[in-house]
Amino acid sequence: MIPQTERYREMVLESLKNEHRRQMAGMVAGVFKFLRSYALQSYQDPAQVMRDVADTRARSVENMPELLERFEERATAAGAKVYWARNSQEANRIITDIVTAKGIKLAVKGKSMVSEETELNHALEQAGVEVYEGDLGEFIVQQLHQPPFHIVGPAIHLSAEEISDLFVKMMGIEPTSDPVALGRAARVYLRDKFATAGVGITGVNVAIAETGSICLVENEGNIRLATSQPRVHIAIMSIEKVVADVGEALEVIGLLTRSCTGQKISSYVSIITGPRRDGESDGPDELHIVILDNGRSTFYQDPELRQALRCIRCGACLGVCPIYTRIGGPTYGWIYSGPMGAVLNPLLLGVNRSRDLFEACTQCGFCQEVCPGGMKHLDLFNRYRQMVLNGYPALNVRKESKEGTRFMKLFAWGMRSPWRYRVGAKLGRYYLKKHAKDGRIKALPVLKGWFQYRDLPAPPPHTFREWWASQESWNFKLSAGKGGSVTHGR
Amino acid sequence: MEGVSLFIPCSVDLLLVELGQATVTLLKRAGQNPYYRPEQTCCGHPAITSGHIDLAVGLAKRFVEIFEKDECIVCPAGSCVYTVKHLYPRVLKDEPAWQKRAVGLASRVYELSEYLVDVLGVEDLGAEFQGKVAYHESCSLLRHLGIDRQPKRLIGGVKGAELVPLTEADTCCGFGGEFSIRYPELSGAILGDKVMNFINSGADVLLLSDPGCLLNIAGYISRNHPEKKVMHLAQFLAANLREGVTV
Repeated sequence: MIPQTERYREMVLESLKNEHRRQMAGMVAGVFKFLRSYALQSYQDPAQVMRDVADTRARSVENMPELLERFEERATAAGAKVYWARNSQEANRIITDIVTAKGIKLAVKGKSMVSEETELNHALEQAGVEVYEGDLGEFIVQQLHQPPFHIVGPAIHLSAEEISDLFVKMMGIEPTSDPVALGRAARVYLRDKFATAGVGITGVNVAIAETGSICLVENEGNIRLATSQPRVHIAIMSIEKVVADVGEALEVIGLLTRSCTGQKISSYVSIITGPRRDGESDGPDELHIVILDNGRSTFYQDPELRQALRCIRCGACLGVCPIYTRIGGPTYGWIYSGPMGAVLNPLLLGVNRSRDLFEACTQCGFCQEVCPGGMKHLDLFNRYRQMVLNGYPALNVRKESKEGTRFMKLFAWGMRSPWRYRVGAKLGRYYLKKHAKDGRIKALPVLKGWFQYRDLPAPPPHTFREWWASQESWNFKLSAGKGGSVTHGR
Repeated sequence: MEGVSLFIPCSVDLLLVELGQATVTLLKRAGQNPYYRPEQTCCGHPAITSGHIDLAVGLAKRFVEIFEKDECIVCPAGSCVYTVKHLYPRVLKDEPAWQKRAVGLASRVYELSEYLVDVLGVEDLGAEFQGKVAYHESCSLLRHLGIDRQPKRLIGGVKGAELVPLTEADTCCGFGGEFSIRYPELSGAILGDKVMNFINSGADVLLLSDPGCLLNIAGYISRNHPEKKVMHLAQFLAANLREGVTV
């Protein structure tokens, strides 16, 4: 997916006009939000688990350099081959080289965000390799050349009829709106691809340093098949996926599946340590693990920004975000959407070009309340805003002005002196009164955005401080407000 | 200084004077002796949340200097309390001495309903209202300060008032300060849903505890549903106090 985060504003307007998309976004998010809150109740003390996992993620990120080295050592000892990729191009080259060197022409994939980050499918197709997504939803949007609508439900915005039309064309089935029949058709179609593919490519949900294992969660079995049927398995992971040991991995996975799909555990959890060993019946001959940096180690240097790496891609933040639930995933202009995207896209693509993603936030804080990583989204967004206003060379952030900065400077200057405040208040209130009618202001030459949907109340005849001064001068002889039986002392 | 120091946000001083007056009324009704420091201006919340953190440093220091000597500071605005308690330590992070002073002050700053219920132990202020009310959980209280039970206790103390459920009561109203001006269509979409949920709740009045949400929702209602009513909880309580009751 070609990043177009700079088109956010116009895409928001398109999305809001698209009534179907808006309803889908709200409905899908609502379902996931409900499932999550229900699933969390299966813990004896959900709040404690949230704190524990947040601690684990914080610790994993702090110790990431050592954990990664240990992971490489143990994974290699288990028979896997580990590669380090500085950026998407390197990762894609490593993978296409492995695939083409073996003369492989067909690849099956498990759903993986990081492979979308590197646009791996495109690179493989360029290298003459046919690629099939194995996850049903991902398979459908891949065939329709659409971006995934939701991180967990990529094709959830499509009707059964739309999917039927696609399958009729692709597979020659009879038109049907029966989801089960459609699922079966895709299964038959893909089964053949799995049986003949030379390589299975997956992401990684959690990597375990202690054992050199990779963990994968899914519900459809496509990942299990992709990691066991083809002779070669290639797993691609970003650097922040590593944790210290199996205990931590299971802790994270438990909260991941609950936060993501509202399941205590997903239908399949695969923990893979090395390729098939002698005497084992299942598994590939070769396991290749590609570890992708793609700019992460750069912002890792900043102690505040590195918390962005605590994200485990569960998508809980999407379901609760007042913005996401109105516009849906594709509007964010890249693969990571919702608050997750507003945190990651600026760091991975560039802060300036992704500016609207974090500016368009009501700062309600719902995302950070549900975040298993314990990330503080609002602190990050405020930091990004500050980076844009002042520039931040370490991350190539260009200093950009902002509509309102001059006003804010004047505002802050005025507010630093009670005298200036009073003069400003007089002028401001005079201005507002001039535009008020029947106790309200319907429009002003400024603040147009506000008046597009709302009025402002007309300013009352006096300020609070004026009222207070008059009260004091009467020595509290008059009671305050209605009811007035003021009692002093208890 | 003894008594309760009033922290009256600029929005209340300039536009929502009744809310300031209601705060005074309720504190007096609860037997407190509120006083007001006229040097106070704005806490700097808009500067911080728009990324102008450097501009907020001076305002944060000013606030600390003005209120530091007070034993107890009470404010009818969740977002301003959040600013002082949680954002100041970040704003002043490069000046440890100031940061320490801000942290020291933070524990003595209270949101009004929190102060009444948790500190004074007052739930029934002697108000009466025959009708249905709904409560919007302002994000600044619910999520930033962890205040959810206190406003409902105060509503529960109102004789005759029935608190009805509000769909999506815990989601944002779409205000977000400069967000409402810079992304009007998004803000309007969120706000429209909030108001629709209020209307569907069948409540006579929508209550909330933050001037930001109040300006936002009341501004929409004044334009589209002038027959409906939205009020800050403090105003609602003060307007419905029964005569001759002592707490």
